[in-house]
Amino acid sequence: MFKVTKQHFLLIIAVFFIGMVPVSNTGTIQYINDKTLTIEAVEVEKRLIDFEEEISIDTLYGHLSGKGDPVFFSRNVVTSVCFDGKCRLLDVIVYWNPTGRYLGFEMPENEYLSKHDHEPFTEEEYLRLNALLADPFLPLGGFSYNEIVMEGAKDVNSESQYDDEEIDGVSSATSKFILDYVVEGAAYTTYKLWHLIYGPTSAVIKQWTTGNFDSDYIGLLLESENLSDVLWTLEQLEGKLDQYPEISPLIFEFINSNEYSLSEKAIQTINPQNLASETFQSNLVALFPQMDSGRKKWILDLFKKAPIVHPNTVTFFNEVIIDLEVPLTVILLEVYQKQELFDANSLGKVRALSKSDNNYLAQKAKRFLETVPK
Amino acid sequence: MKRRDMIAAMGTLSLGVAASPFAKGDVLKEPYKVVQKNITTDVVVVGGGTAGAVAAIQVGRAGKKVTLIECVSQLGGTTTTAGVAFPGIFFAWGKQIISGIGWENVQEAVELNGDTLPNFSIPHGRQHWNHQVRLNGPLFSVILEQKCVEAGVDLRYYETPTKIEFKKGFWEMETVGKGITTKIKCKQIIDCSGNAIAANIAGFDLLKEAETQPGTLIFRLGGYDMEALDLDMIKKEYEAAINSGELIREEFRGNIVRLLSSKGDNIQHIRGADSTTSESHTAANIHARGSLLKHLKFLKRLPGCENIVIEDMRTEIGIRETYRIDGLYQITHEDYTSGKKYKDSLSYSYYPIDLHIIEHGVSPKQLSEGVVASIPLRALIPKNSKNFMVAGRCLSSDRLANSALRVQGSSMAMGQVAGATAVIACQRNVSPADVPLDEVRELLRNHGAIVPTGEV
Repeated sequence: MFKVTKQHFLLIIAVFFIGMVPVSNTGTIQYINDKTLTIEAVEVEKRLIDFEEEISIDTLYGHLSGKGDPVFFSRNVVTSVCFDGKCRLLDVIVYWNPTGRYLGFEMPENEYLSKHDHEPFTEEEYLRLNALLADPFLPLGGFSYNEIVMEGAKDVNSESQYDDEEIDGVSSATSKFILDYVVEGAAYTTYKLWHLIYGPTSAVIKQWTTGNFDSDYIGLLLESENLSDVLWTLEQLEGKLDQYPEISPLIFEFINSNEYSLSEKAIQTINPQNLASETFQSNLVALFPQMDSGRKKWILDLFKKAPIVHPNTVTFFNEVIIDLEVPLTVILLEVYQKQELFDANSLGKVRALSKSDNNYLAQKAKRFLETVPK
Repeated sequence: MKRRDMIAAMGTLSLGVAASPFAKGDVLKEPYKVVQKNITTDVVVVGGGTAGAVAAIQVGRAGKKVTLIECVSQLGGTTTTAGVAFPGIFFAWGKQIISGIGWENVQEAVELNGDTLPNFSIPHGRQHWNHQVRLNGPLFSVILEQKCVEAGVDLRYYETPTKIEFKKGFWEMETVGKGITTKIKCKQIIDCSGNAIAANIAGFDLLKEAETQPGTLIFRLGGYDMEALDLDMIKKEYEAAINSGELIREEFRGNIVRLLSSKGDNIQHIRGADSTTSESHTAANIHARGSLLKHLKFLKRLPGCENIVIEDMRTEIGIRETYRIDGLYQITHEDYTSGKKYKDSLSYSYYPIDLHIIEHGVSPKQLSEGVVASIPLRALIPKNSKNFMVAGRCLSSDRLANSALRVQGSSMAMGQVAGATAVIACQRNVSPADVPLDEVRELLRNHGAIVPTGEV
């Protein structure tokens, strides 16, 4: 008769728990989050990269679309997690989106994650791990491995009265807080994976992706459902919109957005050369009335460096200069000065400003008028 | 040469030296005399820190004459001189709540330094520091100075007020500086000293907790590899050093590991740090620097830390809390955390309740979702005062509310409110408590500020 030993029992338990977690088509444990791109990856390109981290030379797999653009990336990570002088193997496939954002992880065939006591992860623990790894701002990032390993870090009942809930204005959490940011019993696994995901690989991926930038590919990235993907893409385009004029309509949509950062980063993509286009100028100033002071300032600053200010734009400026917020009126005067807008209408508006009740504004206008060639 | 001729020649030579003791071009300084100067202006701002610089720029840009008195050599206070160059939070729940002059300066500093603003559209959760904007402190101080100059602000560094009296509808202030005393006659005073020093001199009541929040000297340590350190050994040595009396536990929150990992960034706690007088401020600076030196010497003895160095240290200790005015309204903890609205709300504030307590470290309590606090004008006006306001951390508030209100972003917003209110008060020849709020709101909006509507 079959006798159930302790080992058999543990195996049955492990199979039971693994059976509850998501599995891939091939039967492996797999957690995949929302993708930046939903297009199909049809080929895989391998690049041997020196990541200058613990696993130095390793292969980065770029999973590419039919056009050769990155759809997602992966690394087959085999490393050791060491604690108390003992090391255990960590064998896992990690996935990234083309924006460097964490996509998910998968266990190779017959592999599963376990804790210090060799108990396999439960579904809840896999879910928690996946959620922790998906947070790029996890305070765990502020800790060195040394701190995690430190004996004191385990000591929840530390005698120190200074340790609890230490957070200041910029960063940091202390040892006890570590438990909030790790899978209990697998602190070192959590730490290793998080640092691997947000370490040098992320930067290599971003470089690969931006190396493939063209208007079509950027357009796809900007259509991502994930806001941080869109913000990341916009950040890569800072001051480069003149290289990709086809995406301008999307950029205008973002500028007009109620999401501040989306709008701000979209404005930052504009290069003064874009303003050579009359249509571009008209579209930009048409958004002006809905904007707050800070965003208007960025746009007016662009006009200081524009190759030309088209007549319709000059007309618009003359219409608004009197009613703008005072700091913006002063910036607009600088635009008039730099662009030598010395036509009769513009000068008429500035003369009106020179009679303002606000002595500060009046002086600014007078100083401008003094520089106008006779 | 005969002996007699030689003696005669030597006499001539020595006479020549006595007659012309200076090198060519040197001028003998006239005897020391303290210069006395008289100034008449519309508004005096005392203190050029986070609130004061903004207040002065606002007054100048609204076309009024303004003098800014600052006791050190640069503007920016906590952000620059004390080095806490992450000026609080300007966005709440996905929306901007503080803009205007303060934000304009931050925006410009970020741009000039080639930095990127955080993604304010992504909620910060419990980690409010994800929405902190890191600034280049020296650059920020230069920007503030140039903005003041551009707005026509009369900047007076190294000066501090010694006498303030209200006579016949005007304030008469006496200040002392290097080799100069100045008598300033003005219509309105805005006290942005942080310690309410001007309010104190003018005779208004101040409040102070028996135990104030500790001060912090910002510095940066280097010369060691965190991953190579034996942290358990360091902790044991640290405890031994505390037990022997070499180190004081509270000065680095009992956490030597955090001192090493943070490298000194906003980690020190100096009990009772008070910048109110030269004496108390000197004592706080000496305490803070001495504490740093003691810990440096201690660490230098330990394996892996032999080459530890101070790579940078700010000019002076940052002060979190000293005096607050007894104002027409005191903002309470309940007011702040419930987002209470007032008819005279003129600016917003958003930060967790953030009390640094010597015995217990820091326990920030995030505001509930959607809550944004606002600041009524009355909290900036001392009881029984005329033509006088404060802005910044010395506003009228209880201790817990103050721990959130004191942050730089909120202080910048308050500074602009006080500046705009002073301008309208000058124009209307009234006291700040009597200004038409609609006019102040309009002026603030015309200068880019985000202003609560006043609906309750």
